[in-house]
Amino acid sequence: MLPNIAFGPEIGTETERGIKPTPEPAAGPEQTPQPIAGTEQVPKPTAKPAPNDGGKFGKNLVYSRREKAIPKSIHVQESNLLLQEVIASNPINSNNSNEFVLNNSEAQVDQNLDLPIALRKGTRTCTKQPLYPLSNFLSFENFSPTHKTFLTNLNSTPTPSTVSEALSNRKWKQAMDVEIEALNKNNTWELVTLPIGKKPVGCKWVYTIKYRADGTIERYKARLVAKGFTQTYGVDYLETFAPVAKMNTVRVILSLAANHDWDL
Amino acid sequence: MKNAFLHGELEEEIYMDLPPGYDGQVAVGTVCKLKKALYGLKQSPRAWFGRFTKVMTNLGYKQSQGDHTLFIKHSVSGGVTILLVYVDDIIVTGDDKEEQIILSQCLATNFEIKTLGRLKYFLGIEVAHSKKGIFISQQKYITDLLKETGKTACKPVSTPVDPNIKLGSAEEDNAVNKEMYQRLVGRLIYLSHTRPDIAFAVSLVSQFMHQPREAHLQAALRIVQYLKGTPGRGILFKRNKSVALEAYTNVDYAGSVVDRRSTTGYYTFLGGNLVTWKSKKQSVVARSSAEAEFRAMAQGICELLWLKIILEDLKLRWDKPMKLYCDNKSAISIAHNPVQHDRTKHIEVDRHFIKEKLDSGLICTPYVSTQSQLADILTKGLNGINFERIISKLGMENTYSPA
Repeated sequence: MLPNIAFGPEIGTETERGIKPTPEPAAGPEQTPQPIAGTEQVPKPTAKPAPNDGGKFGKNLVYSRREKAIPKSIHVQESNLLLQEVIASNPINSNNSNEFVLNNSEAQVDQNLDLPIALRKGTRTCTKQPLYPLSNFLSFENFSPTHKTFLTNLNSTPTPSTVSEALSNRKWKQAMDVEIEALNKNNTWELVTLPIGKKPVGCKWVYTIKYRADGTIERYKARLVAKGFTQTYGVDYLETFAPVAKMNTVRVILSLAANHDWDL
Repeated sequence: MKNAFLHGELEEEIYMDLPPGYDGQVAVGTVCKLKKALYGLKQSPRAWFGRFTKVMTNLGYKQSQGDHTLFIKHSVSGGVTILLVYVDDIIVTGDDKEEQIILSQCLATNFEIKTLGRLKYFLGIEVAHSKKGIFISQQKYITDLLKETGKTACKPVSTPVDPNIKLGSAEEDNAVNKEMYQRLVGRLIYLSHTRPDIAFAVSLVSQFMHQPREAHLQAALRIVQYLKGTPGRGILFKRNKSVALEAYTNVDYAGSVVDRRSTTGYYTFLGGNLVTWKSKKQSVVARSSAEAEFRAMAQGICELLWLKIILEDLKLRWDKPMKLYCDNKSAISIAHNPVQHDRTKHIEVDRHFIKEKLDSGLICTPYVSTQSQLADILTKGLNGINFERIISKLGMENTYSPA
């Protein structure tokens, strides 16, 4: 769907050659000063221990398996500082891009398992910056404004995966209350103590966001679903077949409607 | 329809854990005893359909025996209201305006139903109304399919099947990605709801779903290429003011190179409009073309009888015999011949079935020459000229054509 996504192969070639990543077209003009800035920073201490090298970027160490690649890739990170300023207008927030890069580096590990591993003593400060920010590979520029809104909403509003996560957000809490109310109004269940020998079926919440045609969020929706896969035949259910209309019948009805001027 | 499945009533006793996030408010050990269905339960769709049927019967609707999702009500004034349900989509039609208004109110109070107005889009099928009649097509579905297969810019071809290629199991070819092939053929099968022209081609490629090879993928992609040329082609239901039932049957004797089974093809027309068709490899090997033709006739008659049941449910009378066109003279004469034929001993059941229907005057079997045989398109790959000639006779039109 996104024509600009091309993580895997590009990263691979760049690390091999140890050159800077191809910046996206928008950042073209800034390309020239980078090599100069990079060469200046090459002698920068390589193993300066970082005060807080959070586990978040620890995965970037993966690149250290290739001794050659490390010193040269420093200036890539430095230049990315420049790059990121330029592409700050890009609708992706930096958190997301970081996560993506992490995933990529993991994929990289798998491909290079046969390479000798060079152990690294400490962590550089510069590893705090992502090596290859997602904005170099992903851009929404080719999409229509409405779709762009949708995409940014899609990326920026996460759907909760656990109940505690959902309950901490007012909007999701509201959506869950609405669903519970609908179920109560519908008289879906009554509360009883579990009879001996019976096993209850589990249930969970499924959260979705409904979008309007212009990409803006219409509503937050929570739905309570039963875990039907824990049901056993003969105990919890017997028959499950439900008929659906045959396409043939649909055509017969349409043909008759046309012949008799019926309203549809 | 909002929350359709929540309306179903459960027959079984089901206990469910308290919904997470709401379990702190009551004593430990309490569970919910479900009275209504919930999304996710195995029996939910069935429970919903059962509840719907109950409501419809209470409103005085009769469930058709030809198709259980068809509900019919004949009002005192002689009008008729027809309702067709597909999970939570409902089509209502008929000539009784008052009853329709009452019905939509009843459904609204019972199930929170939204009326969407005139039928425009149903299960991915576009429905267009005009003075000439009703036109159905799947233009959007085809465009999406072209995009997904990356064939948007391909060169169109004039027929879905290459008439010079007999598709076999092609074991010497390279195997192709099975999931991808099955997905593609699955989409084509759904497409043949409005496209009888690709029915034969689709039946051909779907015979190799279990072990697709390069040749089969090429054949499937040729169908996509054909669709590229005519994305807007669909069926036009014309206003003919009749309920005549006709069928055309044809076979391709020993057409399959894999196991020498024959291919059945039939069309049925209701009031001059094409309604049902089928292209299917027969389940047994036939020893003569007449025998294969015989099986096809029996299948065609079954389809006609089913249509008759639906029409009878709707109280639409058609007393003249249903016509079953067939291009094999020997098959026709065997059907009429009361003498036990030595060569048809092994197809006795089909023979008696056809004989019985002929004798009761339900059907008649006029001969049709091979040139005007419409069902040819369902049994073999034709060349461009013959293909287009038959397509135009089937009542297929291309409303989206730029010309």
